Amino acid sequence: MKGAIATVMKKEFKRFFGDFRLVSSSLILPGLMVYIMYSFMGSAFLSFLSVEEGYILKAAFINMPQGLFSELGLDGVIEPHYESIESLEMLKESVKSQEYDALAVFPDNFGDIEAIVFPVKDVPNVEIFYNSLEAKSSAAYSIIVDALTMYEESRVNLFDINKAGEYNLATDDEIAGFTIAMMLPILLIMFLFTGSLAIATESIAGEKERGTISTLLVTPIKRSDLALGKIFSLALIALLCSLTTTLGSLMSLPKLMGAESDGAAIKITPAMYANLFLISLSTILVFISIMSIISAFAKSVKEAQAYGMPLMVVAVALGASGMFGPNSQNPVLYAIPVYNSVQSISAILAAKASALNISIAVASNTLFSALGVVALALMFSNEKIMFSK
Amino acid sequence: MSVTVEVNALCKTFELSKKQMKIEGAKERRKVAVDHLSFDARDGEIFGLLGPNGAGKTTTLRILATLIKADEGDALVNGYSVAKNPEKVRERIGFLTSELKQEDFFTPNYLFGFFASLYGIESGAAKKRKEELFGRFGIDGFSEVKVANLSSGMKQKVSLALSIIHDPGIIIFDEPTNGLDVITAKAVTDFLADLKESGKTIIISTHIFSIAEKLCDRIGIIIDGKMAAFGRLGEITGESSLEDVFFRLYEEAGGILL
Ligand SMILES: Nc1ncnc2c1ncn2[C@@H]1O[C@H](COP(=O)(O)OP(=O)(O)OP(=O)(O)O)[C@@H](O)[C@H]1O
Ligand SMILES: [Mg+2]
Repeated sequence: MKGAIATVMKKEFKRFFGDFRLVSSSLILPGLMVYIMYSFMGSAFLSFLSVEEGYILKAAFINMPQGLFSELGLDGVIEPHYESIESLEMLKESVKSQEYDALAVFPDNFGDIEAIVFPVKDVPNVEIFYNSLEAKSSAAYSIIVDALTMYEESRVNLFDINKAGEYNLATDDEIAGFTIAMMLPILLIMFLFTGSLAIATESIAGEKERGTISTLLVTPIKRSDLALGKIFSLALIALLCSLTTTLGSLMSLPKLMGAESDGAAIKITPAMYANLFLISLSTILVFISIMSIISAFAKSVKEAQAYGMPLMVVAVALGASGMFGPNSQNPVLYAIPVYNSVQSISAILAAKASALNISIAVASNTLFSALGVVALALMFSNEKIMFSK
Repeated sequence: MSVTVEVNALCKTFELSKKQMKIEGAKERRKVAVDHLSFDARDGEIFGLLGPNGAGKTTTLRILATLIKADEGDALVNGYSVAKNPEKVRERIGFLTSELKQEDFFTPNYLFGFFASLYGIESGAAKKRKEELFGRFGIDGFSEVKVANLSSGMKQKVSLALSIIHDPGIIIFDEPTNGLDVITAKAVTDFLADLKESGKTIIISTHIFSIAEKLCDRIGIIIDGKMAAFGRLGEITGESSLEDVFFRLYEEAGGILL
């Protein structure tokens, strides 16, 4: 009966899309949560790095030559406090306790710079104490270092590097794209897995827990049709769920990185989209079949979810292997389920995907899922598994 | 009348978990639930399996419905073996027990369509069948109410209607009136009597003597997984009442009456 697979699929869709609670908790909320969380993390990170507006940095100076402060162009940028060398240790404590943002100690021989001749030996050393854990202190430190460096260069200048203009040939967009390419494999694998975990446990362990699966098992439906219908429909629903979380993270990644870049950060061609889709679909089939088998073993949804957690760690670890681009182009590695997905995603984003390797990955994942369907069908006809209480 | 269901020396042993052993006070790890059980049922009759709690009635019926497998022996349903041809058997039977639940989320209307298509009933015939069954059990007024919101009696009637959606020749009901009020129970037993009139084979299980006496043409008394008596009601009881016969059989089987 071919219609049986379609009948089971239609019921699963109706069950999912007809239930506002399910749709909002597994389709809408996760995407929204990821977006809000990443955006928040991004802006929290930015504010950690920046000094609040209107704040005047305070620095203590010891032994600073007269008039140097203004010469350095620090007037109005830093509020200077001139101190003597006796209070050095006390002042260091004040920098630690944030009373001062930085402390600059000039050597007694600082005036020697007027008489320096080449080759240079024993130049005066200015010491600047700061606290790298404090944004204000770091800011004061770099302002003073920059000012002193400029001052030094205005005195003794052999040559300049990158004195004017923009030299980094990578655009902001490209930098954003690089970061996305780094994060996407791990994020995508994580979202594909969490989608599968939520959907498969609810549908299979849930039906077992509520006793509705036996009602299906007394109908003439073939166990294999039931397994196929479940796995196909659950895979499509889980794919849709991971799509929303992926969209949410793609939209918030630029914010997470603090780049004022729009969504066009990464250039994905239609062919890349098609490959990504094929890989995601085949990966989710693998995840759904694994989670379905686990759910069929478990006595309740909770138990099935608990079994899924260690697998989630494995999936994320595999995802991390794709962070720095594809490891290898060896086709044999593309036959390992899930690992091949990570490598493929990484290769696609780096525009290094080979048609052969993508095909091997999709074929191997599909074959693995087919074995999963067979196993699930066998489990459906095993009374010890289906009626374990 | 011809034999439609033939049960030959069925055996079923369960492995008990430690927890189960404690609950049941069992000393052995293994529980023989059905012990070389044989009987037959014919079309146009109601056959009753009568027995105390834990006698093995539900286990026997679940083997007939192909939900679980026998360790030994076999049963033929319209000539198809439950062990070798479970799908053919499932096409020919309607099975109902309280362990079979309907999904809370769906309405009777949707579920009817779903099961009709699982059984391969085309939509015109399904619509007619739905009117007939929903009308008979008074489900029509509740056909768009989610199962979760139905009373337990109405739930049971919906399950009953769904279990015979494909108009099976053989109907197997485990404790058909359990948990029903007298009115609903009567609706169900009347329905079973009608099905019998139309030539179906009906097998029920019960531990209630009055149901066995009123409804069944032939009965089998199961005690401890074994068939203690089997035949027409009159043949088994003779002059005494069914209850007395039962207590005598129970004591003969080693049971202790408190
Ligand atoms: N899955 C199982 N695992 C272990 N033991 C079981 C299992 N199913 C049934 N049993 C045991 O088998 C015996 C027969 O059970 P069964 O449910 O067939 O009895 P029953 O005649 O239907 O009783 P009742 O009138 O209480 O419904 C009982 O001792 C029961 O505990
Ligand atoms: Mg029972």
